[in-house]
Amino acid sequence: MQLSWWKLLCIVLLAYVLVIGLVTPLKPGILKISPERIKTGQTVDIEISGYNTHYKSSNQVAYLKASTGYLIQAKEIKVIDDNNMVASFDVPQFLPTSNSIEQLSVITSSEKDGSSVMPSRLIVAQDSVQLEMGKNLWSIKEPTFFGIKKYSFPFRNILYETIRNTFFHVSLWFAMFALLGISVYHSIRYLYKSDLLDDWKAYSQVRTAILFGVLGLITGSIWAKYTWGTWWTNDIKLNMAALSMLIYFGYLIIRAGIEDPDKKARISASFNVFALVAVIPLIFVLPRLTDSLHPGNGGNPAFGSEDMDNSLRMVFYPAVISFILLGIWLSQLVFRSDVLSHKSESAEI
Amino acid sequence: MKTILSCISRDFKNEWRNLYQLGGLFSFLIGVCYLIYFFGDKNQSLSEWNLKYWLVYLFLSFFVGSRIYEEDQGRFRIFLHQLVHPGQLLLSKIIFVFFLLTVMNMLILFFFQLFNPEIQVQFFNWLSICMLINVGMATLISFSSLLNSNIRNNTILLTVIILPISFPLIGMAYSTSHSVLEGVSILSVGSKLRLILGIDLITIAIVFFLYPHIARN
Repeated sequence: MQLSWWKLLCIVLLAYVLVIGLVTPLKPGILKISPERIKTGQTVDIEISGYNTHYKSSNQVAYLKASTGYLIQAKEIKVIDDNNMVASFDVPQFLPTSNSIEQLSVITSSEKDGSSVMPSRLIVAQDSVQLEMGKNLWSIKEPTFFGIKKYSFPFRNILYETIRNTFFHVSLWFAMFALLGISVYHSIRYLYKSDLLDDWKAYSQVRTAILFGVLGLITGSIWAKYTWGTWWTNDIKLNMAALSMLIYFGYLIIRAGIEDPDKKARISASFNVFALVAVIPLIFVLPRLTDSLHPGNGGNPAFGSEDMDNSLRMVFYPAVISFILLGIWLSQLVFRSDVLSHKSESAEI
Repeated sequence: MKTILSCISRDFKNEWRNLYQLGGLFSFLIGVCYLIYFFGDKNQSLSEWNLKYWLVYLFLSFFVGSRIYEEDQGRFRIFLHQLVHPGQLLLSKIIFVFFLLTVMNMLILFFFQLFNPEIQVQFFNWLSICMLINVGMATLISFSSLLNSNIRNNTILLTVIILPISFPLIGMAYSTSHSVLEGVSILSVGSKLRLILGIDLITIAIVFFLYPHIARN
């Protein structure tokens, strides 16, 4: 087998993505708190359950933070084990907001684990609103939070360990689009030069792209089950992706429907060009017009700092490159297999 | 231009001579509208009404698509291409289908309004959206039909081709018409209309880029 440099690069990058992507731990984070509803003017003990935390190993500090930036510090912390502790807060009578109900974020910080946030989870109710009094009772001064020095992936509530699927699920779609783009290039080449090899290349690339698309749907569906609680939702992007697959199944059906090789190549090359043009609005335009659970659609930012930090980017970009290279490699193998089977058929005749 | 007009006139004459086909199409339309009225919820929501409207439109467009290259098959096509440039023929088909789809749009609206007069539709806003959608749909249907006539002229295959690739347009049609039904002025949905126009233009550009390769024999 002739091993080109890019195939070697593909293997190295895939190994890097698999090892770093699966072995790197998540940053310590807060898994849950209890209770989740409190009233002002009381001393409350909040049980904090952590993930990947080391509460016993270093001194912990905990805060409650309002949406206006005001916060209070826990007066006492009882560590139960590495992943559980109880923080006692003297919650003042008034909140530093003009609402009677406020959602507070719980923040913990220590030298070893860095800072963890459970955003807007603790619901606190006050009997009457006294904004100025509340501002005096709460502190506006931002304390110094510890950062984490170890290389780790961000801890995101709902996503947890499944955040690693970003490297596989998203990369598969990138690779699919790259392959479809290359196949359109070969289809156009066929339309102008009428070389059947170009059509076979396009065909092999579309089949590989379909495989990647189906894998993208499967990985997305499994991810959806763990994060959104269902295998399939009526999310627009999800359904448009499935529809895109239908368009390309149409391509396969068209090919199967024509026997004359030249006609088959001509019609399917034309359809292939048209299919990519039809898929672009489905995946990139329509999902932006309506609400969507996917990042980058329906008002959600596309891989903003909330979704993708530098630690993820260090694996994500190599993952995209490696999956594209893998796709090209696979489609080459399919193409060569097609050529060989065609040759053997011709020899038999 | 004269050739295109002759081709369109030929299509109209063909339709007139085979009136049973057009009659079948319209009776299907009336039948579906009546079934929706008879079995459907009498107090349907705007989104339900809108969805049914575009579904009926989509299925009728399949019917139209399955017929437009029916007359120009095999040897007759070779003869026809000696008289008319395939591009002109395609353009005439697109204009003819555009006209047919617009008439169908208005008929669906008429019957939907007849059976469910509670839903208020501003006629000219609705017509504008339909005409804009029909530019793209007519191009798409004519192209798919051309593809299909090169394969086996199989209606199921045509559905397989048209259904997924028409979805961006139908999706946009649903989204825009829903806003208009909710009382949003046509000017406020300008961005959606521009998007439909964009899809129309891309569809036309791609179809006219590809047709010489399909028409080539």
